[in-house]
Amino acid sequence: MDRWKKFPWRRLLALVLAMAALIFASTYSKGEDMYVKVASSNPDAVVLSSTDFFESEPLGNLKQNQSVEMLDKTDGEYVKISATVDGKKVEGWVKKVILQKKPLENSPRVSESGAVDNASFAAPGFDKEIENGMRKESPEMDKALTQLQDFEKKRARLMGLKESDDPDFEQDPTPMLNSYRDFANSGGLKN
Amino acid sequence: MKTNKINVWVTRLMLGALVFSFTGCAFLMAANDALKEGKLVDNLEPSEEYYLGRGVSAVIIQNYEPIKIDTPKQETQIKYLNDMAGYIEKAAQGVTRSARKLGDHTDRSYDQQEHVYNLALHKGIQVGILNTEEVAAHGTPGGFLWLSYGAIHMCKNEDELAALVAHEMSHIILDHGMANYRSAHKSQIASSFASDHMFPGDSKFSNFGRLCVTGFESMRNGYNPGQEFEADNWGTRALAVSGYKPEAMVEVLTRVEEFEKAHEVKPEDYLAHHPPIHKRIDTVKELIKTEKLTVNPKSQTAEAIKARSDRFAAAFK
Repeated sequence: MDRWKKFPWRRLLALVLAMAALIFASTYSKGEDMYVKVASSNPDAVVLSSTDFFESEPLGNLKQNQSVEMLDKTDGEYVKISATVDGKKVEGWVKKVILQKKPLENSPRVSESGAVDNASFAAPGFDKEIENGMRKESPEMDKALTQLQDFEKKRARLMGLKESDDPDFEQDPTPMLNSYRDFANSGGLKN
Repeated sequence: MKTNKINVWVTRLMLGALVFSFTGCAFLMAANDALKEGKLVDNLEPSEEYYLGRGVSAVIIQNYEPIKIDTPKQETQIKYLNDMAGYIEKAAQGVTRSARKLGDHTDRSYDQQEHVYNLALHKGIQVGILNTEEVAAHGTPGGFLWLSYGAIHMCKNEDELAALVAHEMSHIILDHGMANYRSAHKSQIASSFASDHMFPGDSKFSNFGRLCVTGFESMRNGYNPGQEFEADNWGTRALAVSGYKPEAMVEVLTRVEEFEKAHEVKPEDYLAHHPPIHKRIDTVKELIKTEKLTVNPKSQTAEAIKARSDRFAAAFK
């Protein structure tokens, strides 16, 4: 009975509490793993240094289905993430809607270095193959799609993007975002 | 007894895995299979929306000749419009994701709103110009926006043009076109005289072609009144947050009213399918008042207004 009383219960309790706090901290200091829903050519795939459109600097583009760590910080619709972009670890902000908890099925997997294992991915429904089949069935449609392709190429050049005949070509949208920013500044629209 | 229980659970697990793998595969193939049967699935991936938008845009190009972008003036116009639309879309991302805040004009849950925001703009907004003085504006899935010279020339300054762009862009962002199509045709791919003429076959390629043609025809027939009010609502809010005065929406709607009075609007015209313009003007005025929508005074200085006026004139005067 005496030994029972002498046992350092308080120390044990403190130890248990300290361990629980450590486990809690380690769990919550690591953010939730999320996956990128959009293609890297989507303007929202750019990781930004700030949530202010005018002040932010682009830190790089996320790839579709890339795994990112969502840190426990949000600002309106934006969320802070940690991710590997072009082989470098960056922390920045993206729109929360471009992330989802599970990886996309039938999509390219992205390795730690940020390289895409299968870049030829396209959604299994409407894609280049379906479009090409449609072109073969209708010469009028073929002609119109060629005109559309010409429009997309010229528009890409004007917005500082790369011209490509491939609809699946993944652009780096950074020059386009800079162009938007210049437009706002030169028109006195900056908030 | 214990072994029996384990066997039962292992069997259940195996059955579960089998069902899961079947449903997983079915989900993955949904869009392609539906296309073979002439159906449209409810949720398309962003890249699928983009390809659908390309197809619908091609049909628009067949109906209205686009400018070729082969003169410096046309290049200026395309760059100007694409910068404007892209900037407004970026600045307005925080406007709202809640259908409730857009005035309860259409029935959409918060989750659906999140979904359409994400899928509409696979490659950002791409604005093209249709070489006609007819008033026409068409937003397609996948982020293509086609404005006619007739619609652009109706605007007297950059703020009014921004109002037109914001209104039309919201039809894309809010997925009005496809929502309309799905409910009108119960997610079946419709056919029409034009679609059957261009695509007489019954392959999945023909079905996709028919979807593109009838998708355009559905858009040309206009959005429903609730969608138009919602687009005015989104557009007005977007103007305010991007530095344009929200009253520009009232001004551009007044231009439409003047146009309608000065011209005979035929049943097949784009404007014939919009709700009464005075009702829309009153609704936008009420929105500005009740929501106290204001604009940053810095964007309304004489210098800022002159800068916008000069570049608008350089592009379209």
